Amino acid sequence: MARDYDYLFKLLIIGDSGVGKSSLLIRFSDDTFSGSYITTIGVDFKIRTVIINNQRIKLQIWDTAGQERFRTITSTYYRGTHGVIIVYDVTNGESFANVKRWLQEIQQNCEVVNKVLVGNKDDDPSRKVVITDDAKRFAQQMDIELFETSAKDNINVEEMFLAITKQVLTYKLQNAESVAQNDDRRIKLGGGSKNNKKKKKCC
Amino acid sequence: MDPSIENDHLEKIRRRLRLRNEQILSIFESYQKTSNENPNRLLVLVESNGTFAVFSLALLQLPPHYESDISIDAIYCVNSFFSINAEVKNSMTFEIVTLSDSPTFHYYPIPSIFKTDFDSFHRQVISAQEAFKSRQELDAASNSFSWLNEYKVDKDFIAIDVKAANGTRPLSKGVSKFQEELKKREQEYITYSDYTFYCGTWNVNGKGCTEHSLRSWLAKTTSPPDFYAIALQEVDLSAKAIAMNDSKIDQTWIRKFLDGLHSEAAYEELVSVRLVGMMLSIFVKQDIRQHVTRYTVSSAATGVFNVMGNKGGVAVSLTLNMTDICFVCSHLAAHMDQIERRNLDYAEIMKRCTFDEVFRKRTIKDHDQIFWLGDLNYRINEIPGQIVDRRDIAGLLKNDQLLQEMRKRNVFNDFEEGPITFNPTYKYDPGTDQYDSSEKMRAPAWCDRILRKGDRIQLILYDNVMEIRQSDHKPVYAVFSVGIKTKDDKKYKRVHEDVLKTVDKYENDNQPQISVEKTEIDFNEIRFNERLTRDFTIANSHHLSANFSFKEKEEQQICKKWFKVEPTTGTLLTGDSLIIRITFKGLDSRNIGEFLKIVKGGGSVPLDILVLHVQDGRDIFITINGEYIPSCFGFDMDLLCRTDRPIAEYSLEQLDELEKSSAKCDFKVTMPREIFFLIDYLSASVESMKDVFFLDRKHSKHHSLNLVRDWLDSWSRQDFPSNKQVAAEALLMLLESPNQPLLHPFEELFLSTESFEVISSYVLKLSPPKRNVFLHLCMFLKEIESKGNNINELAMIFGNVIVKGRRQVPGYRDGRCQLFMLRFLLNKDVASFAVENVQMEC
Repeated sequence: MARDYDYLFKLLIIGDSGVGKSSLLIRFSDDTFSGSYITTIGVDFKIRTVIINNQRIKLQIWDTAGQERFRTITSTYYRGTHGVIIVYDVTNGESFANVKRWLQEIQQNCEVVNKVLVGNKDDDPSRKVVITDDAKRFAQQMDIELFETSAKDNINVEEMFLAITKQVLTYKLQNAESVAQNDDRRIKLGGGSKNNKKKKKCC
Repeated sequence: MDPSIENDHLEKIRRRLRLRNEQILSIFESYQKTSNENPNRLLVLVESNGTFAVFSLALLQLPPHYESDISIDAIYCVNSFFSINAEVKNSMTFEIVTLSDSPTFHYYPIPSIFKTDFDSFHRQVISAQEAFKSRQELDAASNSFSWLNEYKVDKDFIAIDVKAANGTRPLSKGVSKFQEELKKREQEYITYSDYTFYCGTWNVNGKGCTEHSLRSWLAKTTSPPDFYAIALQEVDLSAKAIAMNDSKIDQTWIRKFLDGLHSEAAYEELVSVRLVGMMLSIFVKQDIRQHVTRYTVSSAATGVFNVMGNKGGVAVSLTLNMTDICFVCSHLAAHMDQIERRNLDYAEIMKRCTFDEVFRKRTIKDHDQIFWLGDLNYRINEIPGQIVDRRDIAGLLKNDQLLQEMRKRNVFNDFEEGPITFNPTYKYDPGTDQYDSSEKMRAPAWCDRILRKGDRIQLILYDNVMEIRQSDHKPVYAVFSVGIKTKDDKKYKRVHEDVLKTVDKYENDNQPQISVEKTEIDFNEIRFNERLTRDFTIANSHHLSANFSFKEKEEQQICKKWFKVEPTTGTLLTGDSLIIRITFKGLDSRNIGEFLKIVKGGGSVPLDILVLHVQDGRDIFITINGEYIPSCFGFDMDLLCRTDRPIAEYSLEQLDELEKSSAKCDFKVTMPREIFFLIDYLSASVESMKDVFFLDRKHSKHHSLNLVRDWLDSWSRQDFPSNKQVAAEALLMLLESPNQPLLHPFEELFLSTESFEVISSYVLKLSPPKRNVFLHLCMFLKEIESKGNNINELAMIFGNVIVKGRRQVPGYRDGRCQLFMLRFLLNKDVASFAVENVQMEC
């Protein structure tokens, strides 16, 4: 049967409870927004296929529960993930402060992973407490792309998802090349040293 | 298949399928997913005379009670196109493919009354296919699936039957949801552009070309056509060519054609195909050659025995932009009275001309546009007593056999022909325009015709060429303006994106869903040695059925060992609900230590989180909560000596604090009161200690142990609430339940040392509570021994409990522990050592 896509990428959305992870996903997959808050108790996913460079890329986007008590369980979902979207709430300073912890979480569970940082709920300047400049500085330090979005007003959501997808695609293509090169080298050296990292592989 | 099972059901199936000589080789139970139900399917592998088929049976009930409960849902011929694959992504599904372009049929295995698992069914189907293939090489007859003819399948879109086996099944639609949607909206991105097609046919009567130029036949249009399809018949009439089914292209003709094409454009030969006398060549304007994305040829002989190539057809299939086009050149049976034969020849060519493609066979019918050229050999019926003027074309046409047969729908259904305004093309004296003057005096006829089928074909010219005289036939030609489908890239891109959205939405909307009554299960108060259950409901109110399972987490367990979840997997049809039971199996001396480690600190940490996984859908987390009411079981002797009130009055947090603040001399008592109470009670009746201590825990499941538990935990002043057997068991459990055995950290040393001196020196190094408990126990056992009880058995039981603790292997007792105990207990100095070293006061 003909495949309906050229690539299948798995993306994961993480971040504190209540920052709008599900809203971002629903905005991207169904182009809708619901003001009522239903906390995610589990892991949900949606599909969306996008076209980048004439390639059909099917995104399987996993939305995780943000609550602290689920942290151990949600970490098992990092396996096989190509890209991670870390979300904080620009009206909630603590959720921004916790981004560091989420980044550590990624580091512990994935070897290499593409990621973006997302400040959501950026639609009411009077309530904004995480200043763009601070977030930018932090993102730069961490070498991670920053997006300020609003799932409610549909600001920057599409752009953000496309950016992480492109990142994954670029990484995939480069990696495919370097794997080929590594293979060459290994043959020449007659079997070099192997990495004995015990981290779970993501990509 | 196991012969003992379900002969009755087998017989019903045999009767329903009216099987006589056919054999049922295997039966496998599964179901399919449709939009709103999941019908059961029984897959039955049947053999008949070396050919095999898989019947997919729909059942009204399972097992079937009546023959009428069984209906045939689909029949798959196990031919070389057939394949059955377990899908990699999901071991619960497998697919059946009959032709590569046909829809894939997905089945989901279910545990069956027929006890066949997928692997063995799969193996049998594969070996059936191997058998069929090896047989097929031996005999060419491919119609051996004819036994399937008598079965009728209800839904025609699934009708995969004899035609599939013969490779003549029509092209099927709907490769995937995406392709289907894209096809549906074709009108939105397809535009049509007109191409000019020139079609010419000529029966050359076995002679090479003697004409100076064919321009008078081929260059008939003012502007050059885009395509030429030139058909010849009787290129070579020699017996040798016929016998060899010669298919070599005659290059002199090709050169002649190229020379005769319209001079205002450059052409190239796309492809030519020949079968004996029939030859078909396609020429294409060089500047549109790139728009031909595919071409293949085929031929079918319908001469003597349907194998000789003196009659039959050759064909070219090609794709121009997005339109599939077929050109056919045929030479049908000759003679006035052979109308039937000609009709049959046509049908044979239609059936047997197939074009191999990567994944399928395409037939003539599977094209958007078909052009049929050739010496069709239909004559003009002669009406006795009626003489028709040979120049009266309209009069003659009334008796034209082809037009009559087409009107009767006996041949060339849905084909069209342009109006004939030219003279009959046969039979002429070669070199002249005179009708046959030989003895035979053949009546003139329009043998040579050009027909077409399909949309957007406009006839521009249809004529013969009188001035070409070398054959007894005159050449005929037709020029068409043909609308060819072309993709508008911009519009296509928009539709494509739109379709992707639709398909994504379809997929998102068709995720199976399960709702859960609650995601927090609270066991409230949990106590040592008590079993509890909690139920909650899961339901499916979605339009798709849903398979669920509780996901395994670390260590391949779906839950902690003291819980049990039932059922762990299942299927919920739309509208169904199901009760899930979570059982707290109870804590015993073996697991309490581990449990305490997890709940230590108490409060907010859930006891466990279950992951309810919906297949192809989301995961739901179910949190299990409960408050553990502390009991003396599971705690270290040291800790039990630090308490200053009954343990029931402590919270877990307080006990945790108590453990952490382990300053050396804060013991409130020399040995735990709980141990003391039990030994004290037991000492009152040491005369008979037969059948009091056991290797296995016999009373732990009884209510009486819980009474003792509460009595100990509250430092009760009431009388002991049970008997000595329960007291003995409670004592052993108290000793074995902490994470570390009583003799920790010297347990290994004790096992390997024989010297009483060494052992006693290390006993002194035990923590004071442990040492005191140990020495008290020794004195207690000595006392029992002195009352005439057998010490060996007690040494075995207590040795294992205090050396191994909760790490004792069930059903196995380590003899070394017994030896150690005996060595120590039977030493002459043990009594004095105990009395000297037991600490009576803090």
